Amino acid sequence: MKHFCIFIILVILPVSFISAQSSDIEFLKEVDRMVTFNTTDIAAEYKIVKRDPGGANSTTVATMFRRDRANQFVILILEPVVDKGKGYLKIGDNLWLYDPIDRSFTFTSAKERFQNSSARNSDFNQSNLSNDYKVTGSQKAKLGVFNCTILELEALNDRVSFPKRKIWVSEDYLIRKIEDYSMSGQLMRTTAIPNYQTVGDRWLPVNMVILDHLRSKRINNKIEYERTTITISKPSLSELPDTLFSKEYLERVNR
Amino acid sequence: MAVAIVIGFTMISFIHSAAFGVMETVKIKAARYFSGHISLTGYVWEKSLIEDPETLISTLKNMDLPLRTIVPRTIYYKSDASLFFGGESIRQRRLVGIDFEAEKDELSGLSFIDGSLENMLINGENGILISKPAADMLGARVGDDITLFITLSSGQYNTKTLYVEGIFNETSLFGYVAYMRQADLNDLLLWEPYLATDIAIYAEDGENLEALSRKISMLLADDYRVLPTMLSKSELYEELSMVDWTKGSVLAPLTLNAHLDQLNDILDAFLIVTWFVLILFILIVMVGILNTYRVLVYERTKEIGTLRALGMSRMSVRLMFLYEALLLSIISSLAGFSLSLILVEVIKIIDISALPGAGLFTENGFLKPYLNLKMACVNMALMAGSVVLAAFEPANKAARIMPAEALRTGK
Repeated sequence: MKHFCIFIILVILPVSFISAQSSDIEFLKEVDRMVTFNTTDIAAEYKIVKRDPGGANSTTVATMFRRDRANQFVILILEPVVDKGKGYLKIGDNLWLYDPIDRSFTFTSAKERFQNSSARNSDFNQSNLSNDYKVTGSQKAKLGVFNCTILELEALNDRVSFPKRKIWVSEDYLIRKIEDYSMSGQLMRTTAIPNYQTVGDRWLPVNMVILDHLRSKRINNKIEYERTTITISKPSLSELPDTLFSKEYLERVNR
Repeated sequence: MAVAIVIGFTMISFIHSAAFGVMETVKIKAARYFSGHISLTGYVWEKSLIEDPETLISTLKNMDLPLRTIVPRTIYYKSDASLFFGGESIRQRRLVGIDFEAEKDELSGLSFIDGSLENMLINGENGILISKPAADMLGARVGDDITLFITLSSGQYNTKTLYVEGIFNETSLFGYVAYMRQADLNDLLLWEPYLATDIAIYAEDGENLEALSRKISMLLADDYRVLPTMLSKSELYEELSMVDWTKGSVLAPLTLNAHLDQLNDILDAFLIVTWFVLILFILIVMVGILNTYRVLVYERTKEIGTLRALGMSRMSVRLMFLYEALLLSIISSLAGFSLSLILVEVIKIIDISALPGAGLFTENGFLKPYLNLKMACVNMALMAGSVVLAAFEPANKAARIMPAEALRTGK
């Protein structure tokens, strides 16, 4: 009996721990794979509507061009008129913001708010959960009509916007809800992704709703959060020219 | 004539007392905002950190120097610290972690419109003191729980819920600051509770801070790598860019004057204006004295002639007028000084907070002028000298009057 217990402690427990960890990584890889376009480029129009708690709406329309295999994207702001021509260029780990008025590029961070909305610049990146996070806990739960696996994630590096996350993944490996936490464990943001659209053999959200928990207000005894709704339309898998992912392109489109 | 001197001296004394009051108010506010009169900031690989503040403090305390208070502080130097409440947010220029028990005497001048410093001393854990502009912007009151947001040195976000324990009345550039317990800020930064970024040193009144800072650097040099005392922050940054970090951490002393480098230009300009006004007043008084004495000499020609005829020397006549002018200036200056005392007390109760930028040099919207006795004596000497100088030419003219001619005149 004693030998059996030692056998369990020394062999079975570490093996089951390692296999659980590797299955978590495989799970996250599958989640990443579902929304990553490694063989094609992807372009789409994003409509971002920010609503302040109890306040006015502001709308931003942008076109996003992404090349996941090279870790690149370009976002070109189309609306509002005052920001028209502004652009974001990401090449590898570098992210620049182009201002057509100054005709200058400034370094910006993936962690910055996108056009003062609840979205972060990193939300436009390809999904890389399996490399950026480790799973610290998981459980099954129902989210509306979806049977989900809830994964608690902890960042493996400092590049990510949020050190702790909780994601709800439906049986088709699509993320349906995300809760983003600060280092101290305070809920900062909740993102709901109720619908996806198929683009080729991959998926792209139809819309996302982001609630900023730091920017909330009690109105008529009800807490209202800053809410950002992102609607993604006109997806295209057409091949994009290499010159598009360059500073010259952002300068050229503003001439 | 006496009235002119009284008014002139009153104005000069008042302007000086206001200027001294402004400078003193700014320095008191600055000492709270920056770390005392002399700050010692530790740097480890360009990041602000003192790894063993306790030993450093005890080393400083063992020095036989005129230092009033020596306390550790943790300062969040990034400008992205934000307070969130009720859907609103405000960025803070500076977030200061304080050992309230050790620094309470120095912070006692902080005036509160709600809550108090005692709140922090009693229920300080997870408490925060915010300024009036921050409270107004957030719509927060004492007792409300607000969220503090910062980014760690790694770039990760961190937040903490804190309770407003006090709202202090500071509207100037020193108002974009929030004070909290050092242990709470360290916790938010994921630091050990004993770590600090700065040592705040408060010197005894009237000490030459630059000389004191040089002395501290010299005495610490045996045990620490200390940078020379810089005259401005830009000089410090330049010096830091040249530090060889492989040789270990450094300490950078900076005096209040160096912290206030940019503000000093404004204060210097203010002082120049007060000196200009002072010179203008003296010139006006001098012209008045000159004219009055000319008339006086003319009016008293016969009297001078009689005195000269009775054997009074030219020098005695000259001195008679000069003594008279001196006595007049001293008595009038004393009267002016008394009047300025009343004026200072009156101005203390006038709320000037509506004036743009008044928050920088007022306490709760009120000027805190004070009469510096040494400066009053200098002013009095200046006034007496000016009056005597102005009276010299008419006195000289009186001394040159011929008795026979004087007695022939109708006056």
